[in-house]
Amino acid sequence: MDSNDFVSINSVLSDVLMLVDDEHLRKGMSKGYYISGIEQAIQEIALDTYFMVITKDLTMDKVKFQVPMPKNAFNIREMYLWNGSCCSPSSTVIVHWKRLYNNHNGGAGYTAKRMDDRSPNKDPFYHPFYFDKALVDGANLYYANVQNGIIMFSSNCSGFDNVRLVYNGMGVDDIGDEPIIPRMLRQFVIDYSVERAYRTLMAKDSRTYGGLWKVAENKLNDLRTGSLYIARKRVSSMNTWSRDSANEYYSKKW
Amino acid sequence: MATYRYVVNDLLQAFQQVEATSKITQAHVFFWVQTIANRLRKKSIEKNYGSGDLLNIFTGIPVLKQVASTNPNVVKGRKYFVLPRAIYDYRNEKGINYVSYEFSDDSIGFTKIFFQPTAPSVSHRLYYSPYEKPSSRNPYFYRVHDNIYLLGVDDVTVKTVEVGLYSVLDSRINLINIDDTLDIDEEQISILRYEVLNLGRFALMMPQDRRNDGADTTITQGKPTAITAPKAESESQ
Repeated sequence: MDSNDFVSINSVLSDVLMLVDDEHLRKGMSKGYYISGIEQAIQEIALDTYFMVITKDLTMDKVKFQVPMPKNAFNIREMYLWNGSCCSPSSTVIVHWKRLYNNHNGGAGYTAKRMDDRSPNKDPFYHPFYFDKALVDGANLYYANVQNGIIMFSSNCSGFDNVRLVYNGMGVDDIGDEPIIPRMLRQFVIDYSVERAYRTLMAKDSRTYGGLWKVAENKLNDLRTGSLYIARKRVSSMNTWSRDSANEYYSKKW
Repeated sequence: MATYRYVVNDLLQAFQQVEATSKITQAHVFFWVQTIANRLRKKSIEKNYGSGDLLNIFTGIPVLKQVASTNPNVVKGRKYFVLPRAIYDYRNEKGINYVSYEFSDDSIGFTKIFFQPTAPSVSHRLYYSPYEKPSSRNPYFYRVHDNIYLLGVDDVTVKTVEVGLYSVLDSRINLINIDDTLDIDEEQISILRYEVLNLGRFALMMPQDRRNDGADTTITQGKPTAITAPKAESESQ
């Protein structure tokens, strides 16, 4: 997301507490409960819009050829292997995704429907001669697959010390005082947290809070003016720069 | 600001009960004033919760930790403090406006970390969420009668706390100084006067047959027995 402007949890919390009329925290919900709601709001909008793109460098395990996905990651966008120091990656290669590749127990051995050495070569359906030998046996083909949050690498990745992952995050690991909420999504986060708070209160006293919950729910989910709709629209309308470059590229192509 | 002397004497005059043999004594009126004032104060606090108007702050309240349990309400090993005064009983412990650490570093100030209210039977849920789990930065309190137990500060030294209480007026009339200020809003004195007069009027109008004078009050049920006419003296002669 092309934005470097964030607001803090406390800034959102101050709005939410006023909107729920709970500045004194005496409606039976703790400060942590509200913060949990804010975290869930970020998570929901991150899963919906993929707005949160994170780059992280991990150390390659050259024995198991496995690296756990970072906490908070839910969608890998790019993966590279590299050597060198942290500030100057060198000899970078792309890691491709290989369907059904599995080195479950770690190490160089693995299973897959399409093996590098063309085995199982007696299977009547998965016939090995479909392979392009030059491509499959190529020493420069690096690949991986993911199962249950473990990234499993091909054994030829042993020539590299580091893995760079670019992935979508689904919120934040550790909420503190630092600003983490994109300003453009602030209203959604506030409305989501307020709706959740009123839904909680409605469980205790539906007569008092039912009407208020409906107002909050409408503010969040209205199909034309709701903050969820607006947040999605904002995120999907971004990246004018890259869209402009892509349009220029395609227009020149034909 | 009106003192008890003004208010109580005014009420006694209104009752016309100023003689030494009066049925309503000054002690009666004192007690009624305190009970009605407490009710008015509670309503005021509810309407304008958070205002400092009727708030009392107590500093340096010692935090205790007992080595042995005492039934009821004292559990060994748990940090707690004793309420310095009786408080109004509201939902979610609103009678306790705040409880905070008292820092030795004056530059931080008393508002740095507040304890949040919880209850004994629901506090276990707090441990399920990393955002709500009691800790020294996110502490809680719960009330067991006059003991306020503290959650989340087991690993830190908390010798004293500061508390803001909405405390009640003491109805023990022997502890009241007649020249103390009656701690309610001035505009509520007319309401208090009206309410106390109602109480007194009820006491004065208590019907004779509602008083327990030891007399037999059995009422005969059913058909009244016929009263025979007294015999004429001449007849018997």
